[in-house]
Amino acid sequence: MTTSFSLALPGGQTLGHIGRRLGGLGLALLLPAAMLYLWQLAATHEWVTPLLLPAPAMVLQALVDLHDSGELWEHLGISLGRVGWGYLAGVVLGLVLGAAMGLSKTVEAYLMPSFKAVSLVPVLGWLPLFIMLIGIEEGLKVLIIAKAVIVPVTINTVKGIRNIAPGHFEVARIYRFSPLQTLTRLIVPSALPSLATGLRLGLANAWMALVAVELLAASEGVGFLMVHSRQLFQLDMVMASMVVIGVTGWVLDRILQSIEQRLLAWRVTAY
Amino acid sequence: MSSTSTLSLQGLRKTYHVEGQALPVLDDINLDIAPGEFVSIVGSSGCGKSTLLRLLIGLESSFDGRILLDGQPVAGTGLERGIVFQDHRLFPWLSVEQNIGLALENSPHSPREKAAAIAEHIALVGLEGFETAYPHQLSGGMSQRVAIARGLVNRPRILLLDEPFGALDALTRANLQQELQRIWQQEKITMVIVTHDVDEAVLLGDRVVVMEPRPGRIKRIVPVAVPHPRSRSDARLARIRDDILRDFAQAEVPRLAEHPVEPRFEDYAFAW
Repeated sequence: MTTSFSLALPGGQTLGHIGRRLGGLGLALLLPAAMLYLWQLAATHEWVTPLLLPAPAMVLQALVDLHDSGELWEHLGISLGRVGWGYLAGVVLGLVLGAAMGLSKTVEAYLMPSFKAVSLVPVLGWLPLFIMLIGIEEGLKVLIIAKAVIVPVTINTVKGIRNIAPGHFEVARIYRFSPLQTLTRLIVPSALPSLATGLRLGLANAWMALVAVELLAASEGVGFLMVHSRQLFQLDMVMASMVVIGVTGWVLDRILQSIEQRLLAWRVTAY
Repeated sequence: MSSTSTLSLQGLRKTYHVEGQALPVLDDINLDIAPGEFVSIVGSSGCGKSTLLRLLIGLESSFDGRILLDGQPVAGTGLERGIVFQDHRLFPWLSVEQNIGLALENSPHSPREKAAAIAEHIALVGLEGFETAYPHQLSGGMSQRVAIARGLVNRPRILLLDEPFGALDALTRANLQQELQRIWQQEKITMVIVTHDVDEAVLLGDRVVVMEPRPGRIKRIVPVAVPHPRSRSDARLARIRDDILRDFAQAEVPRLAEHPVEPRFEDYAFAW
């Protein structure tokens, strides 16, 4: 499973040996552990002033404080609410748009070039215009997140539908499927793997767009917590916010991944 | 005449239009198929034999002439006609029994009758114990057995087979040919098989329709008066095969391939 490379360590061991002993998880934790060690080393020897690089223990303490004061959950709740609404809007619009373009060449001919042009302007590129148009209230966050979600959901929906084997459509015709039967028995299950990819990419995009928009225009949320702490020069809080953002993003992806695995059981067993 | 035949083709013509040019694929096909008969259609590539089957199943709709099933003109696809393609076309996200059940989506039977029909046809093709297997777990031969069960589960008046064993290895093919012979005798169903394998055509068919290409025409119809079940080592079959093979002996005139007229996605996007 792991290719051993012969970097000799004290005691005649190689990194490959250690990796095998620890298993896959141990291997994955090796780099973070080394980084953490280096960080601790830098903090104790004050290679960088503690004002700029707080020790790991301080960051952990900041996390505990955030949890104890309830601030963490307040900000996280607000952020997740924004992601929830923006994601919902983006997924619904993306699925409808993707299905329309996937099923009809005419609709695609009308919409695809404009869609591509819009999607090529990154989320943050829309921010100044949107702020001018709708201000910096909740609507802005939801709109920005929805925009970030629509693009991958739409593209993967179109792709999923286009990749359905023509022969399968013939089977549907031979057994006289109605349009509804063709949709539920053929198109949706056949496009599902691609849809799932779009939904996961969309969620990752949503989370990144949220943090970006909260950094730039917000008065609550984890992104705001981070930028606000930086203004107060509380670097431990900044790094604690980073941890929260990273872990939350990872958890969200894991949730979608487990749903995907359940829905696509026929496919997972193929490998 | 047509009242006694299951399937009757009268003056059938089909022309494709490629880049503004008329390309005749089938020209004046006349054929009557009796109830319970097994007819093989054999020809080299480009003779329109697959197109003929697509017309019979109803996937192609524009043609000249008449296609009568039990005296009624066919229009579009219908559950009274079943088909097995060379690629099994099973849905990979459905199990064996669910795939067979697809054919019964629009049949008027009750769920219990459907379940019974599915179980019966799984037994017919010898796949008991694989009801809940998925297509990726099946070999090519097993997949084709599922496709045959799916084609038969509606108890169609006629089963069409489009080079059903063309993608299988020789041993599996020989095995499935015997199986098909057994199923045909057991079910007493009219079958039409299209193949480029003369051995297969002679082994299975009561009559072998030999086609010639450009445009596709019937060259001659060879009766195979050997009772079923047949053995592939039968000397009478060998003589008929050699006779038919002489039709294909002339060296083919070299020419560039025509545009393959394959269905594209757009053909289905609005078809339903």
